[in-house]
Amino acid sequence: MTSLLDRERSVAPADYNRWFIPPAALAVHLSIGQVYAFSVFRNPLVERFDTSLTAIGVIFSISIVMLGLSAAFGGKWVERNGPRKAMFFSGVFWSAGFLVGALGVATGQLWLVYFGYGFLGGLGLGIGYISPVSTLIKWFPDRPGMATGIAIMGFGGGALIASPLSLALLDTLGETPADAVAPTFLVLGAGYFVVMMMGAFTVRVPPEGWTPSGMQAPVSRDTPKPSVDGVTVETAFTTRQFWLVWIVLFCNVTAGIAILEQAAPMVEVFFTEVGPAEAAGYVGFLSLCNMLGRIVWSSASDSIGRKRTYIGYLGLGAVLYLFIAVAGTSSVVMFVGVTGLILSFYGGGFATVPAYLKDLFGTRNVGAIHGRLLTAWSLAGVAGPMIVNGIADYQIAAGNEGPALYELSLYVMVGVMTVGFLANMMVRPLPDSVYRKDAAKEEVEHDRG
Amino acid sequence: MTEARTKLSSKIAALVLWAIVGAALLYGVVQTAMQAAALFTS
Repeated sequence: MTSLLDRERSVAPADYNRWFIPPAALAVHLSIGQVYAFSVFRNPLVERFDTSLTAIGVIFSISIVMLGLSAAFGGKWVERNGPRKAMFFSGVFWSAGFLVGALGVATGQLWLVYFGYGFLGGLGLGIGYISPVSTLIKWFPDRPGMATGIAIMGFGGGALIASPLSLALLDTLGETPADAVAPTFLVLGAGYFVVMMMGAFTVRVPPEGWTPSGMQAPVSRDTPKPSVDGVTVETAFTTRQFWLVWIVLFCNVTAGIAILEQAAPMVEVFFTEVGPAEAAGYVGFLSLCNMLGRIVWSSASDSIGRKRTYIGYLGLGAVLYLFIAVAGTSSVVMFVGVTGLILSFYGGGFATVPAYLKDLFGTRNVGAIHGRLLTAWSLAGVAGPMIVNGIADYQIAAGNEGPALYELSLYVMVGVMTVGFLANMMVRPLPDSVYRKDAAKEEVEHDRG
Repeated sequence: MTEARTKLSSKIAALVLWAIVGAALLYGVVQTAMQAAALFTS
């Protein structure tokens, strides 16, 4: 007996319009992208629980760790069961996280918020993040960068929506923001559940052997032979290529987060004429650049090739970091423009990587392989802020102030980007022997089964 | 007949979802752009 959630029940007819798939992916990514707007709840939660910022910060950390773990270990399950079931469970976990979190806030039990938003919500995040990736690549084999760019742009856009929406709800649903946290969690949980279910029941997988009309051959020079559908996640995990791309993503994210984390204080110490309101505006501007970079650069990678695109992100990125370190204080407009471009590369790096993996390892298990690769994101999320904050603390202890707090960090990031650039230069297409070995291994496993 | 009806309903559902996600994204971008304007107008 098959359920409505099974892969077989979500196969589209041959003449299905593939442009009906991106909104389903966006519905999920726009919802789970809320996690980047969690900071709006920090102060109300501190007041509600009468605790430290660190204790509240743990909620976000748990959810990001769970994102990495569930994407890494749930990828194979997602590939086996299809996008509909994955999106359904992602929606259930994500919304349950808000509901359990609301219960924790209402009853004053912080551990329930850790368990709800952090643990359950984090599971929904990881599964939701990878759920539409391979489906989109299968529907858009001629433009995989654009397809995954649309979805992953949604993750960036989710924070842009959730931040003003949450502030409005906190203002209206209680006498104080602290009183309004629980009802706001309930409203967001219910709203995200509806939107994610709409996505789950709209998504379809293409029928076996489907190709878009007029498609001749894969466009990227890195693409494996068309006859090869792809390798298993275990095989990909043991290749040099996987770990080189892992380093590429790690370096790109570490450097981007370093700016994102310290954007407001950095612009204020670099330019004395910039106040808190302008600094908040600057953070908003960077968020827009981050979101637009995801769709623009990832789409461009379909024409210029994935490897060349990352040469741009990391090579040009390193030069731009150096420029900021050397001449960052000379002009506000120049500083804002250059850091905006860096942040667009940061977003582009996230959105282009699934297509890069598809080029290297084939389409079949790209979602699961992408899930494993996201451990680079989890680690970079710790490394980037740690480097910048650690250096700033060291400079303060040494009696330094102003731009000197961040200059050394910028030079370190030039080094990080250079390491990523070199790793990217070393990426080569997977040798035929890996495909043959992988196919032989699968045959043996099939015979045993 | 049933197949045609299913096709039509999935088409409508996808179009409605496009409208929802498009409106939500527009809301987020406009709100953030207004916040970012503080950087350029002061």
